[in-house]
Amino acid sequence: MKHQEEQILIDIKSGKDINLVLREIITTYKERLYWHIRNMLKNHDDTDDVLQNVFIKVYQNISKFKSESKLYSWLYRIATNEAITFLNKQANKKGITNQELSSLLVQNLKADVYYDGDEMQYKLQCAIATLPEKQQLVFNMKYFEDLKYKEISDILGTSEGALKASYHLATKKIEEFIKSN
Amino acid sequence: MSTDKSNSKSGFSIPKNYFEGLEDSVLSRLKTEERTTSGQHGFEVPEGYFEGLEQTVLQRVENKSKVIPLFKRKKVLLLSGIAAAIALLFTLLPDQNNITFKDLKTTEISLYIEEGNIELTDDELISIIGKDIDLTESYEENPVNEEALLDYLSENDIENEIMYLD
Repeated sequence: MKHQEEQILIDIKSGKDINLVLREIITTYKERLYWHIRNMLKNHDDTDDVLQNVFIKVYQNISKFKSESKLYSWLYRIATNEAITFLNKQANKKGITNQELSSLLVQNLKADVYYDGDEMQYKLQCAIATLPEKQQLVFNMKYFEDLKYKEISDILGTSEGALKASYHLATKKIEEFIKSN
Repeated sequence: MSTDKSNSKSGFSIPKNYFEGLEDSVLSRLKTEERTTSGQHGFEVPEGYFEGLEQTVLQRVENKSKVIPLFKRKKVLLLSGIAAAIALLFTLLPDQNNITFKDLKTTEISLYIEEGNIELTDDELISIIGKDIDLTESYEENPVNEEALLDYLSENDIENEIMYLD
């Protein structure tokens, strides 16, 4: 990953054809960003829409990217912003709160052809949906995406200490939810 | 419908953090592969989804980049330069014709506006049309559907572009 990121940065600096650079970026990051967004949106079609929009935004804003900072954190930040914007719009459209939307998205999983989770996995999703938005994000990134605290910190701009506390709190709440349900 | 589901179907699992000791490159590769299967959370992806993604996005980008701007910056600069020169000419030349607004025919004024020579703001239009027309009347009779309003707001992206600045 590090090697690929370095190569992409060299290509950006050397003024390589933007379409080729975009192709490299998509190939390198599509799966990671897909799962990052999918964990937030739960459903494949919405994730696909948002992911494509993320790459379009990357294409449009690549000139604003400063190579002193890390490419992956910039990409994750765009993906996170796009997914949050999407969720806010959905909640607005339906006239419900973001918390209510979280529960609704998990409820929809039962009828989703692209969800194959067992009872425990579904329960975990229900528990995650009860968490505040930021804790959900931190939990997903740490637990499902296996990102390091340092990486999450780079992406979200939150200190590692605060992230650890947030993750700890999230796991406690999830544990309690699963025990009582 | 799904990608390789061998992990979840067979029930084989990997102890958490098992790979932590291995070299970074191997680790990240294994993690990526693990995530493409439905793995630990049960989410699946349509078959071949990731393979075609580059092409799908690049096609969208190409379609977008083909849009030709209506006004090119250079043209606008040139036109505004000419307009400024004409305005300057009129202010510097002594007023010989003494044409007043009253001398203009209504049809001439409307033609001038129709040709797009002048842009009127809503307020200006209201003052021209007349203040006795109640503009809120039709709104009260046909209130905007709330759903249509939300659709409009969600389609017209007003998010902050600054978020994408590095």
